Amino acid sequence: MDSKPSLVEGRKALKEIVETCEAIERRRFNPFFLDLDLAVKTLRTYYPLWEKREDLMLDAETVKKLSRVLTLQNVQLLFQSSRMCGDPAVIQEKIMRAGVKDLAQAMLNSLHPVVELEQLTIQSLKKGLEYWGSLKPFIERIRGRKTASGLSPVRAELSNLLESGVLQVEDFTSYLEGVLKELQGEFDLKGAVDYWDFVKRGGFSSTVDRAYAVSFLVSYGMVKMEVNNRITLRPREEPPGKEGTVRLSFPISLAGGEEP
Amino acid sequence: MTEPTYPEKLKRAARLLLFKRGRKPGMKEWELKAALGKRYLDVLKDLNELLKELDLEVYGFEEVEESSKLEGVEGGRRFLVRLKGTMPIKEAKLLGWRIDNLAALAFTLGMLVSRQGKAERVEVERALGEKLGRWRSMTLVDSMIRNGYIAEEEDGMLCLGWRTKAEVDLKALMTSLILTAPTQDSGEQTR
Repeated sequence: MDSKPSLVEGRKALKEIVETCEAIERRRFNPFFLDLDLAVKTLRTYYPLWEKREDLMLDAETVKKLSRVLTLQNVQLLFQSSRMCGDPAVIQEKIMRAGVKDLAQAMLNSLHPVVELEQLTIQSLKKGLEYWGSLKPFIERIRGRKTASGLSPVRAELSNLLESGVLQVEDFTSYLEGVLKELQGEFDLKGAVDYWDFVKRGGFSSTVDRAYAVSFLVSYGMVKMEVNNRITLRPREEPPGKEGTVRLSFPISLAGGEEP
Repeated sequence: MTEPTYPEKLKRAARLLLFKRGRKPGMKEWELKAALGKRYLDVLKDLNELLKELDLEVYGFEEVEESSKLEGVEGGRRFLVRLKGTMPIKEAKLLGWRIDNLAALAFTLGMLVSRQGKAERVEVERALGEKLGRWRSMTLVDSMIRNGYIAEEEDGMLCLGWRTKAEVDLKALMTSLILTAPTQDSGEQTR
């Protein structure tokens, strides 16, 4: 370098190297995108300036990231030399253009399924018998537990199964898509949608169904849930990665679906 | 206790490798050594000879990548019994996978291998979604993870799973994929 290296420039250069290495680790760039010689030269240029602990840690982190990129370069060369890897973009384009049957045939040509047997053996029967021997009678086991008193079992017709939700007319994916469409419609009209306003529609069972569907949409990243003074929902164009996700749960009271 | 005879060891090896005990089929190398004695490799070799007649083979594979071993993850080979040959498309139903799901699996593995074994889940789902739709691609990726064909790391990256190492000849797969001719309707299916 012509001018005297400065601390600020050095920190910026090292951070840029770290960011590039991270992008390579996430397979956004080819490992050979980074000139390792130049990166090491940069490290050497700024190393004499580091005095603070943070700067030395940044230096160490950069060395670690560079070593990972070097490993990836090695892996890529091994893959290419074994003809398992060409240009990822070319291969992806090729497989995107292949038909379903051809892809399935390619899979079957290289697949050697594992043989797994599940069968009763004398040992497992012995274990079962031991468990049976130590199992207390049913009456003794349920003694002290609260039991529900209600109607005796009755024969269920198809209509009963549909009413109780055991069987569904539409499949779950279509139902989710319907709920997402409804949410998108409301969002287009009035912006962020209140969670409880959206979920509490119809009777209690409908509320539970809608809350269940929303939980899937949020988990899949199709809907963003924000919890501040109130809970709001926003549909997303693209689901994000799983980083920084938080698990939330909202109990639905049996008394008319009121929020706690 | 007396040492079991060699034929008994052979039968024991067959039982250990064929019957599913835990979540994964087969047995780890050290477990086999403990169960069959020092000459466990000879026993496995003879079992392999017997199974050849049925188009089956004893197959050992390294469960953990070399790079993970360097980071302190416990390694070791796992042995299992698998089909020696391959299945014709007519018998694909025996695998429990639909043809289009098998195609999606081939696509996903092809994408991972071409990127040195790793790719972002979001990117894989987006690529699969172009042909199968967004929802189906998500559930399919979940299913591939459940079955062990791919694995998801904490940072949202997908990598090859233990079942792929056990069942799939990746070189053959990549060769087949590269030699696959594009279909006529492919232009409509892809953007």
